[in-house]
Order: sequence, then C-alpha cells, then structure tokens
Amino acid sequence: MRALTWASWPAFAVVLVVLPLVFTDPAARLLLILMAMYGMLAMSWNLTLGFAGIFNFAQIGFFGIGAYTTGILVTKTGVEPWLAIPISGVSAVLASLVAFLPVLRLRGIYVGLATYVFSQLCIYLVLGQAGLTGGSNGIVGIPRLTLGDTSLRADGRIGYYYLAAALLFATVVLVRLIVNSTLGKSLLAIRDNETLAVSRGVSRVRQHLIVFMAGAAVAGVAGSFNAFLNGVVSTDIFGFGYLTLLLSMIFLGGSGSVYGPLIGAVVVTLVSDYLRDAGAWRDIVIAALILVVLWIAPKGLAGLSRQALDRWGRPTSARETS
Amino acid sequence: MTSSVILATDEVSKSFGSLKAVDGVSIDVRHGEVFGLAGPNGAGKSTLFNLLTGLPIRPDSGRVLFNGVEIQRRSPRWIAKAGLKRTFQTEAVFESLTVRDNLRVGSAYGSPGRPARWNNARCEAALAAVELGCDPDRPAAGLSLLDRKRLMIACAMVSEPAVLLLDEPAAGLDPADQEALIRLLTTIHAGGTTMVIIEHVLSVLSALASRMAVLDSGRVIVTGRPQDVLADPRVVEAYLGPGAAR
Repeated sequence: MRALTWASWPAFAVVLVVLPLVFTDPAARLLLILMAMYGMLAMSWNLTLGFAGIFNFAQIGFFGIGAYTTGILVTKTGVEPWLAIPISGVSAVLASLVAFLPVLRLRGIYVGLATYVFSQLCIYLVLGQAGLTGGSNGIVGIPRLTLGDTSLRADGRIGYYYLAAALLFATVVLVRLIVNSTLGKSLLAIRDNETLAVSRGVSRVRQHLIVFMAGAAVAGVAGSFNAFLNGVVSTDIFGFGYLTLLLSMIFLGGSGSVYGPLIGAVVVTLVSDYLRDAGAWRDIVIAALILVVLWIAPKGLAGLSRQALDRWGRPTSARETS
Repeated sequence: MTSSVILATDEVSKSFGSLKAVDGVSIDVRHGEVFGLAGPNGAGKSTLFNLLTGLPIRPDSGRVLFNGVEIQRRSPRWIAKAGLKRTFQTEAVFESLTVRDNLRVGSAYGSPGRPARWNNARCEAALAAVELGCDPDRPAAGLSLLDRKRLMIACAMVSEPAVLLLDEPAAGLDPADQEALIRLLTTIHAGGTTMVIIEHVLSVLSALASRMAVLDSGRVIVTGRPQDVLADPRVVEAYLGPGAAR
C-alpha cells in the first residue's frame, strides 16, 4: 500500500506535465490554471478547517494579503517579480499571527466570526491606504511574469500553467507530509477530544499555530500567483464570492481528506465555467450539487471514491490519508 | 510526608459556587504503590484527579506536590510531560485515529522537551503490555469497551509515566472483564509504575491497592489498608447512610 502511495507521486506529476499538451486551447488552459490555483488554496484551507477543526475564515484574507503584497512590491518598490512570490507567502504568515489571536481564547463558531472579521478588516485597511493600495480602484498594471525574454503568458499561458502545476504539486506534498506526520495526528487528536489530547502532553495552541501559519503561507503564494495571472488586484479578492466558492470546493470534495478539496476545486471550476452565462442559476446548481453529493456521500466526492476503492479490496483501515 | 512520597496533596480545596467539591484534602502516594480512592457519587474523587492534573481546573487553596515540586499552578500539558498521566471515566480514545496513531500521539508528546521521534517498537511494546491483540492499523472507533480501556491505558503508559491515575477503570465491565483488568493492572504495577485508582467496584480496589482513602462530601474520612478501611463504620455510613453501620 505504501509503495502504491509513493508510486502515485510520479504518476500525479506526469499527469500535471501532460495535461496542457492535451488541452492546447487557451481557454481550456486557463481553466486548468484556475483549478490548480483554487486546488492549492482549498487544500491549504482544509488543513485548518478540515483536519484541525478550526473555524478559520481568515484564509481568504491571507489570499488577498498575498495578492496585495505582490501588487505593491512589483508596482511601487520595483522588487523582482519572482522574488515577490515567496515574500507574499511570508507576509501572509505574518498576518496569520494576528488572525490567530482569537484562536488562543475562543472556540468553535466564535473563532469563525473573529477570523471572518479579520478578512473584512483587510478590506478597510486596503481602502484606508489608497496611496499604497489604489483604494477602491485596486492595483493595476502588475507586470506579467517572464522567464528570460519569454512571457509566461505566451503559447496559451503554458508558462503560467506549469508554474501553477508546480505550486499545486508542492502544496500536495506539504499537505500530505503534515497530515501523515505526528503533527497531523495530533491535530486530529485535538479535534476529536481536546481534553484528552492535552492530558497526553499535546499543546493545542502550538499545533494550531503551526498549521495556521502553513495554511497562510500557501494562501499567500496563491494570492501572489493570482495577482500575476490577472495583472490586477482589487478588494473583491477579500469578498464573500471567493469565500463561498472555496467552501463549496472543500465541502463538495470532502473536508476529511487530503485530495477532497482538490477534487472539489476541479468539479466546481468546471461546473462554474460551464454555467458562466446562467447568472444566478450557476450558484443554485452548485449549491444543489453540494446538497445531493453530501446526501449520498457525507464525506464528499473523496469519500465516494474511497468507498469505491474499498469495494475493490483496499484496506478500510487506511483512513484519512488517501 | 516521607522521602518516598511521589505525589501528595496538602489541604487542597476546590469550590464551585457554594458547593465545596474538595475540602482540605491531604493524601500522599508513595513510590511504587497502588493507592485507591473510593467514596460515594459526588464525594469529590474525580474533582481531585482534575486538580492533580490541572484538567481543566486548579485548586482554590492548598498545594499539590509531585516529586516534591509544587505543580498546582502548572499547565496541564506541563504536568502531563512531567510524568503524571491519567485516564478518564469514559473510555476516551481518539476516534478518527487508528490504534497505532493513538499510541503515536501519546508517545510523541508525553515526555519533556520536543516531540519524540516516532518509535514503533515502543508502541508495539505498549500494545503487548496491555494485551491489545487487534490490528494496530484499525480505527480506534471500532474497538470493544474493554479494548478501548486497554488502549486508553496503553496511551497513558507509552511515555512511561512516573504516576498513572486511573479514573474508574472497571466501570461498565462484566466480572470476567474486571478480572482481566485486575491482571493487566497488576502486571503494569509489577513493572514499577505507581498508580492511583478511583474505583466504585471495591473488589477491584481491594485486589490492587496497598493503601486507600475514602472521600465523602469532599473530605477524606478514612485512610489506611483496604481491609481496614472497608470495615470502618464511617465508610459503611458514607455509602449506606446514617445508622447503617449498627
């Protein structure tokens, strides 16, 4: 089983490499890029929301902070664009230290309210610093990423695709390493029974802070990528639209698994694009889809696929790590 | 207090509003012994355990001494890492983890300093010590009552605690399982582990404890050898009411 798990890494990498060679149309490539970006964002959010059981609604804030950090760095300070990507991850991690403060004292839904307020405060911070952030106009004219003289936008955005694929692959590796580590097991232990976990010597604050920062780092990098992809950043990035879109991906795919949010990101991106001219019906269809899937399979699409694998003889004891 | 005392309370009290749950309790537990705690429901036994481990409450007054060090203001995590491990009345295990991963959490974080490296051999030994013969990769949620208790004890034992606090380990077990539990705890004690056991099943306590205390209304009413304590009229009265001892 372990050998099969490790064998899946090169297979996943090969799929990521081959996909844009199969889908050469620029519109299809853009969809693939969005799937990868949303996939890494949803997977990173699932670390806190799914595995640690923290009602963390600050993830969109970290995404936006990453995007604005990149926008400000490359348009106002002349920082090398490629360098802006890791710096954006670091700035999101620093912001996560502030967003984490309510988690020290609060529990459950109150953490959700406090962290959502954090994301909303980001909007007011951006609007209040119009000289730096462009206020309600946002930051425009973010230069495209280039590799030498070649723009990543060339050849149907193939450069952006491979960057997104590399970031997604790194995110999958990071999430799997965390979930399968002793840290990951302790997160599930705290989620199951905090008193028992503490009586075994586990520090809730320490473990939650680590996973909060890890999730923020990925979200910050995803935000930076989003800024380069679109060339603009506005306060929409902190909005309810992104929040509900990502929650849809996590719940449809399955919050209890590593790959569930990625599966959800693929499905919701495809459905969302297919129904792009359907107006409000798009959201209604996605909501109905989530309800139907959760009715049939409470653990989401990943849970459904796991049931199928179990029927084919996979041991049921290998639980959340697939 | 003698030099062989490993865990002691000195006039420990805890109130919840007007209710004095623990009222000036002083006990001492010696290295390597099994110390029993008994008393009717609401006597303050589990509250005393909570005060010893800081989970989730602390004493209003008095001292808790572990290896001579005051620990009543220490965090529950510090106390756990220092070597004071406990089990709970309900057979608490981490349900979304496998049996092995339950032990992994207990092993990694149960000792002082940074999380210990994953030690599979140690976990296998802990499973063997509690005679839990199931597949270690099966989910803990599916275990039987006795096996969940075995796992809970194994998780507490895997980091080799100095003192093991067991809160009603025989609760809900039939006589055959109680016998199995007595054998298991006797084996663990033979390995040198000091134990404090809260138990309503007095036959279990008599079989295991070398000394015991009986609490009633938050106070210690008798301390001594089990055969003497259980024959004491004050204990009979505490359980059966005034006049029952006559």
